[in-house]
Amino acid sequence: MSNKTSPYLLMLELSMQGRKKLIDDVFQQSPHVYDSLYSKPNTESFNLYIELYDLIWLKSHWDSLKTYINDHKVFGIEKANLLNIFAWWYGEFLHDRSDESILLSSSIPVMENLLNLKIHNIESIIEFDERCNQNMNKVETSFKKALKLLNDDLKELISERMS
Amino acid sequence: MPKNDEKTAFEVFDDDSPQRKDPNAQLIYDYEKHYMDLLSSHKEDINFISELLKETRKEQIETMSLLDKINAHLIDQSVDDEVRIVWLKHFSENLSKSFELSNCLIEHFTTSQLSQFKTELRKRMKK
Repeated sequence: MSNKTSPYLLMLELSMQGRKKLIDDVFQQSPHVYDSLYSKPNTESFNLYIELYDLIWLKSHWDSLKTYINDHKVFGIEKANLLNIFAWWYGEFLHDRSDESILLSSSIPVMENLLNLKIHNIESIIEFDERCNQNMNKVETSFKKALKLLNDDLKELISERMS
Repeated sequence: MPKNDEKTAFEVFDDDSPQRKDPNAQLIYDYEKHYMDLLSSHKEDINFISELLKETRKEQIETMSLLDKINAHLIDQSVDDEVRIVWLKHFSENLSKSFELSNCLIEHFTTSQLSQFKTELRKRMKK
């Protein structure tokens, strides 16, 4: 495997794009960022909006990886290596913050589900084998489910306040 | 030109040198020779890793120096002070973690290159 196609370098490139996105989203006024910035401090909605943006941001790395895999028709051991490195990266990202997330929103059971879903994502990636498309679909569904749960919870909070 | 008693490691193991008959010395000579050959053929990789580290450090410095600008932008956007402080802390933690993991990726990449280097060296030694 040459330098250019090394899974480490690809993940490095995706991380760099991710950091750029993080900054661009602030200056380009992404609604996902400003939902949290314009919510009340130390409220459940503030924490949820932050969590929601984090998930969207982490998912953007996954989406880029998926696009690369599809566009470059990566398969077999090369695909397994890429997915394993992504699983490591994703796991490391969640490692420091999972306890904090639970503590921040302990009154909302969805947080616990969310964390389980995030962990389930990693497990799905790690369980990679030749049926990897199936596992990639599992990761995709987990992300969608986590985003839906967060969105539903936010809607519920907003409607509670409106009534 | 060094004097006879100041021979370099390679000259000591020169084809005409009696020390080449010593198998241990021969092994050292072969190792050194292949090591140097491999090193020169991997020069590009070494430079690549060095550039990679340099670029990541440069990006980290530039990104972290943007935090003041982001803070000013949020004040400009009338973001509540308390929200701004908590949000910026979270934002910079995300950035720092991303940089920390990028440094780990470079380390892993370097280790994988090093392991490839050692494998090639072992293969050449067996020839």
